[in-house]
Amino acid sequence: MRPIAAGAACASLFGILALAAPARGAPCGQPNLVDMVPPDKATDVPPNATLAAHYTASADYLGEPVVLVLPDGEEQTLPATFDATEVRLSITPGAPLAPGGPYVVRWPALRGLNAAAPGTGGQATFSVVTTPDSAPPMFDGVAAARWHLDRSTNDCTDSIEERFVFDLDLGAASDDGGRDGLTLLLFQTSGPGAGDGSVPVLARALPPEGESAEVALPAGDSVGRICFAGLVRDTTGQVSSSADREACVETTAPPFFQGCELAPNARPAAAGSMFGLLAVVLAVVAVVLAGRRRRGRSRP
Amino acid sequence: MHSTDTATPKKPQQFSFVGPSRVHDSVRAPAHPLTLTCAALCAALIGAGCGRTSLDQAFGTPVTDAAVDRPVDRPVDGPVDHSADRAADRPVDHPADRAIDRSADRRDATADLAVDRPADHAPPACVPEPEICNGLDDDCNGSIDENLPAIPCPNGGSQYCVAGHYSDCPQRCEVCVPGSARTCFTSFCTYWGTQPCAPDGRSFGPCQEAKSVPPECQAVAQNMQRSAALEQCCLMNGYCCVDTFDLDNDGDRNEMIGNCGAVSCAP
Repeated sequence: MRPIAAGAACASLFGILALAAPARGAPCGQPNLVDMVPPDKATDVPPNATLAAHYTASADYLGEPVVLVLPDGEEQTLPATFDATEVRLSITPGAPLAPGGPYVVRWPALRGLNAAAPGTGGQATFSVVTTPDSAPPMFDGVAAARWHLDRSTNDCTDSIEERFVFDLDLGAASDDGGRDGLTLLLFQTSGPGAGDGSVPVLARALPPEGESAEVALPAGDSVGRICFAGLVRDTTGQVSSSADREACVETTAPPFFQGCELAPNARPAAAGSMFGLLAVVLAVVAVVLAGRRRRGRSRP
Repeated sequence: MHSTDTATPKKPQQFSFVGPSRVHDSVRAPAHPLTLTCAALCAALIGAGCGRTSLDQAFGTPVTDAAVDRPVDRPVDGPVDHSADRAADRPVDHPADRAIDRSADRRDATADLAVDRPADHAPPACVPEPEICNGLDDDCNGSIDENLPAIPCPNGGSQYCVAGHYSDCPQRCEVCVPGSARTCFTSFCTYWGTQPCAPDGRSFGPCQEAKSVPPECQAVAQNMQRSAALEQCCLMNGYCCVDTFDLDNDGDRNEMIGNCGAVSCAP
């Protein structure tokens, strides 16, 4: 009975090998600009804001000028600070920005640590409000986590890289300096990659409201119970008190096979025999019906 | 001692369904004809291999005979006044029992608190203390670990209070600098290869055989093939090399040694 059961159950509940189709990856280590804080067309930038831009991990800063264009057209080249750990280039105007606009900040194209050709830069136009940013931002934290396995082509190697991609739903965020000026900092708080503490996994401009954040981690960091927490940082460096809220998800290592499972905690042999019996009964009924039809057709 | 394992029953059990008429755990509910019918049906289903969980989902949480026969030690949020006479009747706490009819227990416990507990046994008031990063509301303002300063890291970035602990310092990349590559050693043909870093810097790709060995190591590769001598040659000539032969004797054969400043994530 057991082989019949297993065969019938597996045939009826065919397993799914949940491996996504290979996707095209990012260019190999190109030091491109990723996002800007505040973003282009922001209208609620506080006068005491620090302006920043994130680049890909390979970018290196060699003193390229960051230019701020004032509303009257004057161009100021401001001293920039490069934080290699966040790959973040930032400028803080010497005096508070005058309300109004439009201001333009030009972010340079940076060179890579291992690439001679520069990547892409960017430009953001924004306007300034009268109220300075004084209070820390509010953030409801990471609300939920989902995951899938992504197999994408590594353009550097022409090989397939597997990544566990986590989609993190974000709670509401606000700040007296405007939501546009918030940077999202995500941490892995549980799982092989986190060890005993929490590890920063993402520092990017806060996605638009309603959009989730995506974190891609290698399989070695991503199998088991994986938890994330997050906070937001405003343009003055103040952070939200949201990192005590975690969202967790249980992941399993590939290959995935979702056949033969009938009920959680079911005894496999007994459960298999029940469904095997059901499959046999259905097969007998089908044969009987087919026989009747055939007899019906053969009658004159 | 009760050995009933409610998670993985070894034999068919009788299931009954706790209804609103239930008064107390210690009071045996009268056997209802419907209950007996369902119990027989369920026993038959279990015999046929039906999983416990599916039954639970369909009919509700099962209650064993043992659980009906005696009261359950109730986990409640506040301190409970366990009077001596009730404590004498109460058996030792059994983990399996805790999961049984918890909602009914809470309901009963609430009634018990109202009757048994004097007012002076109220939970202790929160004593405000300076907030520290510990996952607790130390200052009793309803928020946890709020307004704690970030700690600057020596190489940039900051540590933040996350989930009750300060986070690790951020790093530019996890494993390797995107776009970089290290030298590896193949076991065939040229015995020399490169292992490029993934675009996200979170892993290296496979070792790809090089078409030719650098001139300074050609002789070694030809004579010694894949060997510690070839790795030594790699090191001596300023490459970033996979420590396949553990030349630094630290037991790690996956690390990279040599001139790895542009490859390693370490500052």
